[in-house]
Amino acid sequence: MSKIREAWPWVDKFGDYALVPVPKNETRSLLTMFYTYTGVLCCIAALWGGSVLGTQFYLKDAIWVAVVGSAILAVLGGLTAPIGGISRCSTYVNLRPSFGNVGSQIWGTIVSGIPALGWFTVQTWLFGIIVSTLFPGAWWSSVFVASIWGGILMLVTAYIGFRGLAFFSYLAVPFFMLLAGFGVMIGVQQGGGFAGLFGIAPVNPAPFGVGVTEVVGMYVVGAIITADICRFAKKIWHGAAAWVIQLMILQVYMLTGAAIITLVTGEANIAGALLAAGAGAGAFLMAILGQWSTNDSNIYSTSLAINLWAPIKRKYIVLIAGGIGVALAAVIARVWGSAMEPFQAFMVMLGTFLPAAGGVLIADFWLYRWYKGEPLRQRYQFQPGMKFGKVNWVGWVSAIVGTLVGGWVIKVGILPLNCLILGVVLYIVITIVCDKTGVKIELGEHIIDKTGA
Amino acid sequence: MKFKRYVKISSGIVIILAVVLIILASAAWSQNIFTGIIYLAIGLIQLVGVALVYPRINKEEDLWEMGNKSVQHNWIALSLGLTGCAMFLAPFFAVASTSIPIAAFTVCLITLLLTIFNIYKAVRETKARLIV
Repeated sequence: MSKIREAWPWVDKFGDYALVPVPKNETRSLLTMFYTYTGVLCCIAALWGGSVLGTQFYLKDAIWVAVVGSAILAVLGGLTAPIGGISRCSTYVNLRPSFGNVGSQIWGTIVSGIPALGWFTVQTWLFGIIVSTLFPGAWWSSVFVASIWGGILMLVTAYIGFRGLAFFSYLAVPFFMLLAGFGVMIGVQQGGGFAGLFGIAPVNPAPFGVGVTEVVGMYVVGAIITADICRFAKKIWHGAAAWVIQLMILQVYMLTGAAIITLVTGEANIAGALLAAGAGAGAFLMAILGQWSTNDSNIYSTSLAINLWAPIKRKYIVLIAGGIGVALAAVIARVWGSAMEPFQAFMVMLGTFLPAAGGVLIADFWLYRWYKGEPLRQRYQFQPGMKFGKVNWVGWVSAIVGTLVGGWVIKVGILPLNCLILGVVLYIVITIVCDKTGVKIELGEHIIDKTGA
Repeated sequence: MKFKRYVKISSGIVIILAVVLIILASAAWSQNIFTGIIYLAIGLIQLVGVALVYPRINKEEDLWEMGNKSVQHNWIALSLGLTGCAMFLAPFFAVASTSIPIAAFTVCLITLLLTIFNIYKAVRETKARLIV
């Protein structure tokens, strides 16, 4: 133990090893990685995501959409997870080589902080829908009013820093798994068996690619920031294995279960569909508590991402960002009520904007370092005194151009996959060209100190 | 060791409760197959999840590690107990005999309370990690 401590020349100033490598004596097992990922996946939002698929696709197509979307996420996360396993650093730190020090602050906020705030907003609004469904008719339970008081309550617990709620995310895992199974049971009972289920037409048909983009968008943030969890892995491959298993089995199962409920009931609002099918009030209370705990974590992630570069107390960031989130949720509730369009748009937006940045990270670690002849286990071994550019312009250009071209110019293929591949290709091609021609890819210089800052 | 003995006895009680749930599943099966399936699923996972603690702590001599393992297995049983409490009284799982869902709910409630106490005891007595 003392040997490990001597070889760990860091000071963990920000806590939770936010800017420094996780010491070996703090690493956890494969099972813990799996539990943690599953705790993130198994929330009511995953069921809402499946429900959206149920409005758009026949069951067979919905399953394929779930499989293809999950496979893309599995590849993306399967390649970012070992980066955390090798460097034992958070995504924010891992972004330094490919985006520069300032770049990692900005892109860290783009890929983690802002989407987490987006999820806080969406989940607050979904909370309003659940309350409104459970207690219809009362003024305090309208989607608009419930979004406001629900958001404020979530904000208060996040402000106080009541991390105990985070436990609930893990406790609710079997509940959400069985809730998805409940969807299958309802389908079999009310849809005329499995054969009948496959024949039910969706109410709002959509192209295959849109469905895949939605599935990718639902969890793309998680795929890019896998390092935040698997930096704690005992072995390099643990994080990637846990990630791929939970996606290809659990996510496909949960999306399918939720899609079945919607297909059978024809109800896009999964809360209403569950209540109509007889899920009971207990299930709803669990769902609300699960949603609350997840949202508490969302706003915590936002505040952490911003706090790493903004010299303001974290609690104030929680209040400001959370206030914006609640206000946005109230606007969505006022304009759209229980309609699912904002949720679909949010998932497509995430599926469009984030994969290229993930591609840049993957390209720098797996391809550029390989091209430079750097052995795998020596990549991203950060040390105090190490120098980085303030900005790596190639990373910026690749992520922005990859997103714009993949999202709006290319009209064939699967959108998030196009963005991801473009991010990878642009980064590796430009860096190699720069390398051959002697053009600097890094601008300015930043030296990291013992705190990792 | 006193703590090892406590873990074995309390785990035995949770296993008995899981077996009761499986028996209730067989009773409910003919009335509502879905109720039978959900009772069986929770009962079996709970049974296996808790039974695995025995081989793991039998070899263990370190009190802290023993506490960590106890916490792990009790989390599994606790989360399943909570799930049972939330779902068993739902209208979808109703059966002709009302005493069956109430009995199943009670079994899960006892499991829930016992496992909360077990985790508290492990953390207090062995300084085990609450999140393992």
